[in-house]
Amino acid sequence: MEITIADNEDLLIEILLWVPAKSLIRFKSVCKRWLTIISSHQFSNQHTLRQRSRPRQDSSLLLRLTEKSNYFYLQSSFHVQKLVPYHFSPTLVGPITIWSFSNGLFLLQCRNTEDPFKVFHVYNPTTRQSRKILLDMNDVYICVVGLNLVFDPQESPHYKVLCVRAAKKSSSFLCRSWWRHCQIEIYESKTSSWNFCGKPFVAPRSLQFDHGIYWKGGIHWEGGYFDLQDCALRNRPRIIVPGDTGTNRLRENYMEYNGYLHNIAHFPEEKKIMIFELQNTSSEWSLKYRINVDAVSGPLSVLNIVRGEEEGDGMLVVYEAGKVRGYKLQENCVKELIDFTVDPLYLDASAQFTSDRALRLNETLAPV
Amino acid sequence: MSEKIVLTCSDGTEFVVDEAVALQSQTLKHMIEDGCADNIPVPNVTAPILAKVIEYCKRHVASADPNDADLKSFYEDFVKVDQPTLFDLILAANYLDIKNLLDLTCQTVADMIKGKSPEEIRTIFNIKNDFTPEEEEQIRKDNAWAFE
Repeated sequence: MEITIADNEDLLIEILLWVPAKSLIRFKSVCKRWLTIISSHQFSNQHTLRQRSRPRQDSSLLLRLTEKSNYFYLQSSFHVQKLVPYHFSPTLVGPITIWSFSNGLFLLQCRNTEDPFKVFHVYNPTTRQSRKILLDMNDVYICVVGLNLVFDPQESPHYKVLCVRAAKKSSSFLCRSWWRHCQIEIYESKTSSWNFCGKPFVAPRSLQFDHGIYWKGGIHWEGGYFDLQDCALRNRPRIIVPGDTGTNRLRENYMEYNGYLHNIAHFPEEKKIMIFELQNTSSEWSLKYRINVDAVSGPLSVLNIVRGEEEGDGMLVVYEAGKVRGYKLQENCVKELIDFTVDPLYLDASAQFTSDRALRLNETLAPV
Repeated sequence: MSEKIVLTCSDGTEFVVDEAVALQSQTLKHMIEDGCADNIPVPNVTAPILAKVIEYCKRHVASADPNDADLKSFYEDFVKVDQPTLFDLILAANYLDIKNLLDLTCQTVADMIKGKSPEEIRTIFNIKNDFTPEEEEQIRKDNAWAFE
């Protein structure tokens, strides 16, 4: 009877549509017919659509080694206790800079292409497919100060690229301006076209527009967010840190987790991490978890926050002193997940993996 | 007193079911609507498989509320069968066009195979590897991250 199932392509596809993307990539090597099925555009679309009805999975990570161009894959379930090298598609030539990631797709730049400041790629790290995107040209808002990918397969199979542009420093008024004149432009993959979004606005130069997180219809940066529905820049409620904690050398990371926006605040001098949670942009932040990091002496980098398989398995994933560790959110304990010290690339006493080079990777077959 | 339908499986064994149970199958539904309601042959399905399918359909007639915890546990127990039976259930659900049984059985197989290596997959589905060693190696190299 096994023969009959494999021969019946419709039934085989019915089964494969329920198999997670990462396993399907492996199954490409089963036989030529499976390779054709799994790589087909139609199957990829159907599979991505099917995954919409399933609960969100924890994201895996792609980690870039500091000062090198090596990337490693760290899977969300931590069954495999090592960092596995990841290689980008050979069609992407030259040193790669990843500008943004969103629910399994990356926006990246290859610095050796014909026009590295104009040509970008939307890349699916699971299927290694990429699509070239050309930035628009604009005479007034010449500088690109932020590029953010917006993709949520639960909402739509199409993605957007949000480009924050700034006008060139005006030489007339002040020699040094603390402000920039900005305008937002959005690329829609559905129509392959750029359109201005919202009115031009003025923002302090200190406001960063990169590494935005797409959450509840807005792109969130450290200093605020852009509401895609209203095409307007807004502020989030302020986080109030409990009275006795100094904010010296505070390091913050924003991450989406479990449908909420989280601020992971690391206070190295007090040796603790506080995790604040925001339910939506009109609510207030609440302090959800406190983690003691007394035992940590060297640099610590927050990489990810995961739910785990069971209730109460939630963990903060960090990198410190050559090890990837998981700090349980609801209990006071820490687990060693991966020992990087055994890898030939390991360098003692160096922060080899940092938060800004930890990219969330949700395995998906989503076509670009 | 509900209508009874007689289903005859591949070896001639007859199963008598309520019409409501038979209507869970779109294939049988069309046949009943077309008037051949006396004795419907189901030649592609063997007796033990048809018995299981009927058990599933009966349970569904009783309650199809997806939030029903009893139903969830019924599903879990229902698919605790050996692999050949599971595959036969898929074929039967497909032939009889019973969508939620097809989904349940396909998902079960998907869960069973997701962690396996390509070699194990070939064994389960009795597939011949038609890649050359070089071709297969290239796929593994390109996607090394997925193979660990």
